[in-house]
Amino acid sequence: MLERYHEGFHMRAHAATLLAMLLLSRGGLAADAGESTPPISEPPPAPDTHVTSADGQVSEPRPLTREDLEAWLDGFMPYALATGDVAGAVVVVVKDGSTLLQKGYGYADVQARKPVDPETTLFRTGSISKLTTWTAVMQLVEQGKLDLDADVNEYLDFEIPPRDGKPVTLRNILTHTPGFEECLKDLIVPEGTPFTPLEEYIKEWVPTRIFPPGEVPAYSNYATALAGYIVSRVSGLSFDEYVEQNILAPLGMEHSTFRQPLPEGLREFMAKGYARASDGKARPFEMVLAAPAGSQSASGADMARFMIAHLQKGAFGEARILQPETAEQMHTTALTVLPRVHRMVLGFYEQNRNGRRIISHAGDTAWFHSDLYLFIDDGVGLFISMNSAGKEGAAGTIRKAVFEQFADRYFPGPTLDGEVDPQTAAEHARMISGLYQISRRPQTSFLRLLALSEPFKTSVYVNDDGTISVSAAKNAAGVPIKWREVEPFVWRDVDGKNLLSAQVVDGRVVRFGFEWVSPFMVFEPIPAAISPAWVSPALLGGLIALLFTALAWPVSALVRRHYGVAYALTGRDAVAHRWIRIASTAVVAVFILWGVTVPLIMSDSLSSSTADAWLWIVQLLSAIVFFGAAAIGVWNATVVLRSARKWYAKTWAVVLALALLVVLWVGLVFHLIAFDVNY
Amino acid sequence: MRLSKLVAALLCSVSSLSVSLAADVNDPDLKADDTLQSEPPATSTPELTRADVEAWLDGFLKYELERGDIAGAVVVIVKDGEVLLQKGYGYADVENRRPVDPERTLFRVGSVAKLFTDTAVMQLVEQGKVKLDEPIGTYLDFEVREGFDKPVTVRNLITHTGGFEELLRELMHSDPERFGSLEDYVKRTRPVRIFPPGEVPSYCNYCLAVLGYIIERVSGETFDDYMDRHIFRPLGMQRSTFRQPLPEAFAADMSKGYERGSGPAWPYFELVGPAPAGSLSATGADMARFMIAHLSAEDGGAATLLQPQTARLMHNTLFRATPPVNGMALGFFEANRNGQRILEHGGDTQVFHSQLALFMDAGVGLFVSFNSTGREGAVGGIRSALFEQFTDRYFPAPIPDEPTLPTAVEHSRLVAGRYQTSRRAETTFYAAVGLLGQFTVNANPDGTLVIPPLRGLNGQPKVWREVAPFVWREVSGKERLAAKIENGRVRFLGHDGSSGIQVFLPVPASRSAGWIMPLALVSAASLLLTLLVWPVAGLIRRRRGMVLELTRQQLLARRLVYAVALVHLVFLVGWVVLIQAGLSDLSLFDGRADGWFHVLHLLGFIGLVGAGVAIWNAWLTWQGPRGWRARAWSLVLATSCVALTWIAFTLNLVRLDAYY
Repeated sequence: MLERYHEGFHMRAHAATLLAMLLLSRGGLAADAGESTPPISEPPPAPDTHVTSADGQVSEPRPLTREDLEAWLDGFMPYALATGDVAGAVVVVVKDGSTLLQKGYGYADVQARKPVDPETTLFRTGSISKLTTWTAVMQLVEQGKLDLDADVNEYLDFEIPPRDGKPVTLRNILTHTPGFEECLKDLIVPEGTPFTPLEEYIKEWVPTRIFPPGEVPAYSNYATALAGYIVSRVSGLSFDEYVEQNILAPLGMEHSTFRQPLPEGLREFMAKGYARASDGKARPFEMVLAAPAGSQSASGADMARFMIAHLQKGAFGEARILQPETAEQMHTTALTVLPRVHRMVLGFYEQNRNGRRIISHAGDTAWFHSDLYLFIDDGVGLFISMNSAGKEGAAGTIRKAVFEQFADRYFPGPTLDGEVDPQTAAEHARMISGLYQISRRPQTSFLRLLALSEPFKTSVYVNDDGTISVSAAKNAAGVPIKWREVEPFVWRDVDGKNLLSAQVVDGRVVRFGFEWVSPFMVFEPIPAAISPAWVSPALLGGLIALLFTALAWPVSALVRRHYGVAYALTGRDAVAHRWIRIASTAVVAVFILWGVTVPLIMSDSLSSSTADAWLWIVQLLSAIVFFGAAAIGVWNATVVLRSARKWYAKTWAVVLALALLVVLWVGLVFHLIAFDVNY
Repeated sequence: MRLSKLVAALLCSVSSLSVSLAADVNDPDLKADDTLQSEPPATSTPELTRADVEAWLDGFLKYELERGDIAGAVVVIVKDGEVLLQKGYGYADVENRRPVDPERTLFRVGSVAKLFTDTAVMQLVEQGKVKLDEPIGTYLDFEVREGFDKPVTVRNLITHTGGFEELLRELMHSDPERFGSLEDYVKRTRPVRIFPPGEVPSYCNYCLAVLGYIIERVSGETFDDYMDRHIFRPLGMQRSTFRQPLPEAFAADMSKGYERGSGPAWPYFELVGPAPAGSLSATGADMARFMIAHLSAEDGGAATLLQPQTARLMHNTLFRATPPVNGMALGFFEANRNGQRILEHGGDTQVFHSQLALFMDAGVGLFVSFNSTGREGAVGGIRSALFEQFTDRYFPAPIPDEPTLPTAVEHSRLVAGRYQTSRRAETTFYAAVGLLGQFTVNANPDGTLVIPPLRGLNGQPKVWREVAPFVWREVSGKERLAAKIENGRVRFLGHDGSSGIQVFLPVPASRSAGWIMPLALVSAASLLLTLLVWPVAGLIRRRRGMVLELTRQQLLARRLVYAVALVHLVFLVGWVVLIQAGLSDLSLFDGRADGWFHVLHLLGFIGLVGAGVAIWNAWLTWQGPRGWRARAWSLVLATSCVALTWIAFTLNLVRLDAYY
């Protein structure tokens, strides 16, 4: 699954990516802002024989009892955690206003063998924090202090520039459609490193707006931080204070806080975070600079309170955090971007399944991975959090399976099914095939290079059996899911229930999304200028050619010496020959520098200021070397072509010139040549 | 699959006909790390009820099948003489979306079949027709190979202590046409005896085939008929058979097998050469009957199968090679855990993986069979975890609180070193595979041990701590490991999870992969380098108009050495390809690849002559005016050819016959 995206590439991007999800409106139509009900896309009645689940059996509902649930989870969790190499987890299920089951599995602290206590052990909830921020925003909307559709600049003391003349609104932010590019720098830093306060963080760099507002879901932590800042400005309290007074206190969430580092009284309860349980290395407490987007620490029992409050439309015991209409508005105002697939409602992801209305949010820091689900018509909530990323991103796989199987076990129902005639299906499969990039992406910095790698780049291809697969969409076994078209431009997982939907304009697929991630990001065709289809082979081939030339320099000198042969070129030929070798070597060296720099920056191995200085140097070197080398390459080619050299020398000179031009192109369009250090 | 993984399989699999359960033993960085093996204590013990166990299994299996890329499974639990739960998960046929039906769907149970053969032998023992301690020659019309002073007895065959080496030829067939009778198999397959009988557990499919043949000889019925009449019929197992190929009536309900559930179905119904060792096809529901029969036999509940005293004899006669570590009863492996007396047998074909466990004190039986190997051999971990966690849930016991012995450091040093499994071959090419399967027992400074193939559920090697003299228990877990010490030296190590099947024997220095492998690799690399560099150097010389100043004889020698290097490399690559192919699909070793074995053997002999040529070349080079580089390299070449030849002969990569 896409959560993998985080895996493997370090903490900032990791966390960034992992922080959460949302939904959007059909190409160009802004959100039907006022539409209050989500016509749940009730599937056409499907014959039972067509309703298949992953295990091939039509399941019968089981009553959701504590006994059944606990036995089921006891079967599920211990081995899943063990094979996933996840240290510990907490699972909480609420039903009809009270906690049905809360249980810890594994360890909050591996070294100390301290088990997870669902009542008191704190987990980082990552982007599930956003639900609290959104709740705060809606409280202020309810009080008339905020307007969902006003320009956010009305509430700010700095400016978010318009795009196409359009401002960003809070509604855009709550539906992840403000159109900001991804912003990864300093998203999360380890405790103990210098900490930028929220205000400074959001003012330091306003990420570029790469989509018109309200149209393209592109998850944004930056925008959430902005919303938190607005809450603080409008309420006159710090964000932490506001949340404590208006949400945590009324709900009695005593083992919860947004404060970083943790207040003294809560430290002893904090679960340790791990990359993998077996490495036994407890990781430092993560400081989320975009705090309103992900700084919460909370116990399972406290999350039960939060879920109950939302399930009861704002009411919790004597307290009330939202008026019923506001809660209703929040839970049901959906923004449709792609037909059929899950959308954003105000702050929650739609996660409907089996014909049930379900809203949810996911949360990921580098080490903690959580999910929260509200079955709003059934009065049931499910929260799970794990304190390790696990083997190959196992935590992501586990939480998804827990939800899907929980939903299928206790709330089964029909799934969208249908047939599209084979010819049309083949035609549509051909239309959607190709290379895509995700909407949630860094675009104006060197990190644009990520577009050359999965999952920022993903490919859609047709399988032998006529189904399609998306390289980024894999099942729990790591095998790309097969999708079968069930109605025009809507495909369904052949072994499951999730849908994939494409938007077609003038006979071309302009974007698609699939369930699990469709609320908060979509896939768009990669423009030819940066398409990995030609850039990757051209760049790789070019660098190999340049490397050969660089290596041939000393090797040919040695061979000449061994056999006592003299250097054959003279005059301009010799000068061009020397310079092309210098240019090739320099380009290879600069790419090696990038190869070292990017992982260092992504893995947080450098302090922020060191990284900035380093980045400046590499970017300036790139500018000088790439332009210079391209010029030399072209000049050398003209010299060699006019000389009497053999055909292979001429061919090689042309190859090198092309390679150096490709390098320059890559330097420009992927922003390796750049003059700022925001990313 | 990587060769090393295939090899590793052998070391870890519960008991396999095939050799394909993967587990990576090649992880270089093993550290004495306190890995998580168990959960914090549960609050209360759930009762084993249908509702509880079904919910628990649903939680466990659905996700694990999905994650492990396993197509389907059947689980059966019996309790107090009745079926508590039988349930299918996933698909018997993925393509046609046919779900597993515990009543109808047949699974290959692999070596679990041995329990049926052993039970049949015990019936004949009960009738006085077979004696456990009688030399098997009494019942046979052919001789097994000579070796040692002691004859092999029936008991030895049942307890896998016959001492035969492991053979692969005709273990598995895909083509019914090539598939012969049991009599043909036992008479044609004549494994060399490598251990004295009765002493060293070494899993033995051949032994079970011989037992099956003894059943035929003594009863006067064919093996298949005997099983039908004396086991299946009395128990009402109407949807079970040892017959191969599968009788028409069952074909439609046979589960397909898969390497991975997302991939294609295994292309053929596996025909097991030593049929009594693993040819059974059965439904989950039928396996319940067999379990109930054994669970109740000691109380006379299943007089139709065995008399109570025979059942007691079969269940309670224990052979432990490394006490107190689990050993084996007559046919059943001991798998005691949490103080429960548990008898068990696993079964693996290339794609089906099964396990049967009887909780003798509790009157509970658990059978599970999977029709896929899964991603990275996922099924192995799932199967053992299912058994362990089932046991820990319904029959819990704390991890014993034992102090580490003061002798830990001293004893850990004594057992540290290189080991190999007793389940192996000494006179076939399989010795080469065994070389790759050698592993090192590492002693940590604190006296704990790390044994790379013995891993926890998270894939990390377990850490072992000495809790009784020469008995170790995994840190934060329950499994034990013990050493059999003779004359102050380790004779072998046994481990709770597998000591009925195999023990680990110290590797003599002369056979250590620690130096043989590097030698082979360096030799092969220098030959390869020669093959690549000489033509390039020749081209450069030609371009520069230079010539090597060699006599005709030297030139001839040089060209011949070039050919010899080529032969050696083709020989090595040929073996790697053949072994990989055969271990990925054992039916390739049904005899049809014998020609390739002969070709490789022939290349080996040419290589032997070639080693002589390389020596001659070196001698000539040292005679002539060549520089020191040429002289040195000629020596390297000669050494490499001699080394590779020696290794090829030592590892039986050169033989005169197709015996393997």
